[in-house]
Amino acid sequence: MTSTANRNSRNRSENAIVHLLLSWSVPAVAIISWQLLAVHGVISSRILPAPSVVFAAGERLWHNGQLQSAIAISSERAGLGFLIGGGIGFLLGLLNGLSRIAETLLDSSVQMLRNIPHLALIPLVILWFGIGEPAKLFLVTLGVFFPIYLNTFHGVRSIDPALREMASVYGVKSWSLFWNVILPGAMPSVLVGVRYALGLMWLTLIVAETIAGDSGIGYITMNARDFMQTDVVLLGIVVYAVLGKAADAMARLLERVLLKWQPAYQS
Amino acid sequence: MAARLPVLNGGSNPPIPREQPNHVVLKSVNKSFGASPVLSAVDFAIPYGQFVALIGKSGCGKSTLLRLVAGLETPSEGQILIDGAPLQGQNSGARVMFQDARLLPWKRVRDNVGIGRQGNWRDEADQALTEVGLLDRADDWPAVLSGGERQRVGLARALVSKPRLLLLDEPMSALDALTRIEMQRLIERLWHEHGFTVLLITHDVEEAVALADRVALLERGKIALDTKIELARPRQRTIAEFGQYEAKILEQVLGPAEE
Repeated sequence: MTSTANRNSRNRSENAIVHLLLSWSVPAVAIISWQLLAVHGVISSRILPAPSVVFAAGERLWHNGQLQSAIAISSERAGLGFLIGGGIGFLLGLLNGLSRIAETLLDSSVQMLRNIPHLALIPLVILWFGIGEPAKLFLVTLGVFFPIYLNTFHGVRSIDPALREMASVYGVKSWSLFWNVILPGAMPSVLVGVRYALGLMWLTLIVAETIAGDSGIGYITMNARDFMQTDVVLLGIVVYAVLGKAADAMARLLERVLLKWQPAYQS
Repeated sequence: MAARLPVLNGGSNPPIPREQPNHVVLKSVNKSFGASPVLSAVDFAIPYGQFVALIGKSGCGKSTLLRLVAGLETPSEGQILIDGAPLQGQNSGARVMFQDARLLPWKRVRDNVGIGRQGNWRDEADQALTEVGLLDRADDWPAVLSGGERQRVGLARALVSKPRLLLLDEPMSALDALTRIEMQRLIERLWHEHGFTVLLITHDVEEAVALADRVALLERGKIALDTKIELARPRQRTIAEFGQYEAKILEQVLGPAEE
């Protein structure tokens, strides 16, 4: 028994290592060949500087503090916009999911607005807010609002009516019904919305910072473009990718915690 | 009022003397969904503590009758009396077990059993789980339980509030044969111990004869047969009388066998 269990667990950890190696092998090979091609002059350093050069640019900007402050500013914009847009989307999704009157009143309007690509509003947003912080916050807020609204609404509506009926037979009402049945029932769908919104959050912020800004990662890359610093531009792209990955990892952690009842998360 | 209705006292639990003998009374109840009538002029009374099985083919309205007694539906015409008083809204003294357990997948077994309870519900839930023999699964998620275990958790959840009326809507129909017999014995034992009234909806004649004091057959929205099962408990399914009851009811359900 125990020896089988040991062997199984050893097999599983070996499998995990193999899986990790395999999934990282393609990017590793890509980066190594890129480095080799750039070092041997096959790729021009103005088109695509070597990874080591990009890394050095990162070190340089880190030492003079520019990188940290840019990451801090961009993350703050992203986070604040996410909280505002996501918060409003979540509350409105709950409201429209729970109340037929609210749905009739508001849902068709929201659906109409949803069809406007929010980035198409950039000229209007610049006219309204100039190029300052409110413009970026507004765009991020708008970008994350819709996926969270739609998925929250859908999540509330798709709760099994049999479970709601059971709850009512067992005397679960109002606040307790919301807390014990509706909220956890809607949560898988809400979290799908959160992951989708996190992607849109970075996308919107990148566009907003690149078009108009005087700080943040997007500003650094556009500034570097003016001085033909391809390495810094690439660095900015890498930083965006890392931040996006970090946000996704956080969303997955949230799923692990909030959806631990799902068989997929039970090991 | 109630005295005019057919009253059948049976079973091993003597009825507790009260002002009126019937726990549940349906008085010429009609129920239709849209234009299609489901129940027509049903008169039916269940004395306190009786175990009644209501059988019928699918679509005969037996689940609708249970839902009316639970207060989940309202009759189109007629009246439902609980303890002699007209039922308004949900029947708070009744608990329902559904065909599937309807456990909340995001709550552990103990929290599922204690749902809607207040005060020291954890102890009550553990006690109910002990009664169905599942205390050791109290901290598990419903997703890891077998079908039979889920229904036992559903039974514990129904029992935790010490209901006086248990409404069983085919709770054993999805279980395999052996698990079903275990579940039947468990329900019978708990009924003995607690003395609640039971209305069991089933399409399984053997199950009805094995468990019930009285079997009623619902056919095209009417009570077509209402018979006491006078067999001593615990009931032996192999004895001749058991088979006779079963055959008699089956014949009524299916119509006389063709020559």
